[in-house]
Amino acid sequence: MNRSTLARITLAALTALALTVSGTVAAQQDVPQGGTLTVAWPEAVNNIDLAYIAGWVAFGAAHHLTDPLIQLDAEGQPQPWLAESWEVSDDAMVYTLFLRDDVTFHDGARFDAEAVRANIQRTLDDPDAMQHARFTETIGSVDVVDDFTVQITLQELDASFLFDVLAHWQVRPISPNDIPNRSAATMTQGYAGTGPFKFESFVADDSFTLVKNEDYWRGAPNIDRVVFRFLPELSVHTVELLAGSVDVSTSLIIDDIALLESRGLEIITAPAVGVNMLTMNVARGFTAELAVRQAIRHAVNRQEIVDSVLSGFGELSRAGVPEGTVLYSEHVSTVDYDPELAGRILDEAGWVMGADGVRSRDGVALRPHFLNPPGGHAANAEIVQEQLRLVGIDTRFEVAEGGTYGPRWREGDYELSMTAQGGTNWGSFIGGSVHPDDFWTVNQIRFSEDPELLAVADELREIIGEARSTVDLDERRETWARGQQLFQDYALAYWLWHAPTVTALQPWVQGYDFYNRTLFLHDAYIDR
Amino acid sequence: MSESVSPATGGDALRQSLQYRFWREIRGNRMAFASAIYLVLIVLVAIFGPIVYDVDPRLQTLANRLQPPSWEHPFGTDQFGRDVLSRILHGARISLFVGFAGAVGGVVFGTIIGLATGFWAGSWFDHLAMRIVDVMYAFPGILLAILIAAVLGPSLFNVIVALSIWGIPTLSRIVRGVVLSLREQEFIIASHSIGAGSARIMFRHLVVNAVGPIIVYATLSVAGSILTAAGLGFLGIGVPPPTPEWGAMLSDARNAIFRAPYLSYFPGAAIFLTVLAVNFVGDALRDAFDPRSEVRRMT
Repeated sequence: MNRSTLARITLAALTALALTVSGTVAAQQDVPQGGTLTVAWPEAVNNIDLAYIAGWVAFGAAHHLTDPLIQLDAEGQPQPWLAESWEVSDDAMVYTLFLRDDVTFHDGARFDAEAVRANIQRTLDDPDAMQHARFTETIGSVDVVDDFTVQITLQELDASFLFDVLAHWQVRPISPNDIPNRSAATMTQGYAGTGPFKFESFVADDSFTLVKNEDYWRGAPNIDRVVFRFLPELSVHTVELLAGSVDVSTSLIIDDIALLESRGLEIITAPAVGVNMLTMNVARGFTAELAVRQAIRHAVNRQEIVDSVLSGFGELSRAGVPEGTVLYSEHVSTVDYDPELAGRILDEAGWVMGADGVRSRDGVALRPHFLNPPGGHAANAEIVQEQLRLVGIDTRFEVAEGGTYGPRWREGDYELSMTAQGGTNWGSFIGGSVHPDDFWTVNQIRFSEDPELLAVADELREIIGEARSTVDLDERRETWARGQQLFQDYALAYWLWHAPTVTALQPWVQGYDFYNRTLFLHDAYIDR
Repeated sequence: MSESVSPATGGDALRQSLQYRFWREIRGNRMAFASAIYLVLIVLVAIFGPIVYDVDPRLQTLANRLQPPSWEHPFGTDQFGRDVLSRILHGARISLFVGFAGAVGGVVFGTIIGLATGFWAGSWFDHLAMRIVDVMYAFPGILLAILIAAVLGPSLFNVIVALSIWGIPTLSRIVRGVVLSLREQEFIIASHSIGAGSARIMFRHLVVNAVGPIIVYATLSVAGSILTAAGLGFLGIGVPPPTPEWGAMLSDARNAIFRAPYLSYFPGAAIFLTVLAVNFVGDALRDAFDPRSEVRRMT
């Protein structure tokens, strides 16, 4: 190749590169700027401080204020974010994070290793923070190596530490200037994060408003302002979408989807990352009895509910983990709908069907307390209530008032309850809700007086501990499969279905991203 | 005139007079007449409807959910595939029973408190009871009912209790006011003078003479009770599912308002017409028992 040929190729390559770059820039510049995006939100957010947040609903709105150290992509794989890269020691006990040096908090403070250390430390120091405290209980020390390098040393092996702690919302950094002023009492007050949007206002039971962060390290967002309007009534979401007064809703009435689609709204479904379940309190009342719990599971026709009420938007759950995800194991047994078997189990346990269609034993009618949160869960619970009635279980149905459900459920003020869990990854689910000692334990097993169940609880602790320290994913899956099987054998919960998140957007909302059950608005724009 | 005869005779005469005036009002007022017929019909429907139309209101057929009205399901099916007509008919029993029982509870306790406070006006009991009533008045009626229902928990009995308490303040005030004027009248003084006991005076003389305002308020409070019970059901703190109750049915219909709007028509119409009818009849009663309307009529 002579010099002129080389020069021509070089020139062509540079021209192509220049065109590509300029095209990209032009494309970005062509995106309409400005405007206010209004998002209909299904619950009144009562906490925007991610160190204290328990639920996905609050996170979905508040995450725009902050950035994760490590971002999990749509496939659940860790990607660099505030941490440009990281190293894990051979024994998986030391994690070294190399941080970006071009990030500032909304208040102008520098994002650096000290900020990361202070943020992790606050979750360790504040007893009210970190409702999933066992996520961070493995942390031994957090050390600042230099301005942009931080080293975390574990005191006990946690194979999912990267996913469940470093990528988790609860250690998303906020400005060190804010940390001394934060507590559980300031959960709805604004703070400075590093995220694409800054806090503007929070009005209890009304709205949460964000404004664009012009200095965002990934480039300023296209939209000037995002307003999350708290609209607990889902039919209002449909009305407002049809009227064009809201741009996005992440909570829809399934029956309205066809109508919304016919009016030109875009409907997107995100894969299920949570599980709907019928929780049973094994520590008290009728559900303390294994036969009753087993009969309940066989009496509930999950498939019929998914096919009809959910219009097929749902996948039956084998044992709380969706098919295709890393913890799904085919070795765990399933529970079939078999009302006749349910009846036989109850017959054998001495629960005799009465003339009024209600079973009783020793003069006591089989009437478990069925506590439910308002909204869609309560509606599905009414179906379950009727299915149980057909086998002679007459539930005492109750829909808890707004914010009272969570605390009552957590305290075990129920025998049956329809609810859902936000994640099915290791940290939020197995390490979270199904652990006997967890904050949101699904069955109150640790409070049982039955020695056999207490032994099961010990076995679960052992299995979860073993799985937690198992690095190999296949091995870990099968370890947890033993735990799942315990849940099935002792009917410790009834995993119902995995429902995808269904979101409706106006046609003029473009550029958004939606994965891991989360709406990302940094690149979104409004093109009317 | 012997003490034991005159009140009874007076009571019968009063009763006959009230009945005459009521029927005269009803016959002369088309809306009240139509409303009275509607109320008779709705009571008959509540009693015999579920027997004639024998469909289980709890039976779910999910494959048939949200079906529009048809011969098989005249009012369609709801979000769980339950027959709406059956639920309306059974709901009539619940809503009417709750409405009447709530009103009766309020009337009984309100009357007793009103009688006692009026009779012993100025006593410590009067002051205490009226201050408690004042406190209850400080709450909007529906808020008070919500508070009571939320504290007691959702059940049919608790809703009736909530409605009864809700009705106490107004009726006790009305009865107290009537008793305050009656107790100064000569026949009461005469009763005292011949040694009649307090209970006898209250229940044989005062109640009989206060029956007009009590009946009028009781009738109107039935409408209020039905409406409040529906409101509690709508808010989810009324009669718990799956018991068919009009307010709860209306609440359930919200989530299907676009796909199956008829779900809200039927319970909405049932509540609306029943409350309207009770109010029209109540107005007719008020006119019948109001002496000023008699004067207006004569002039």
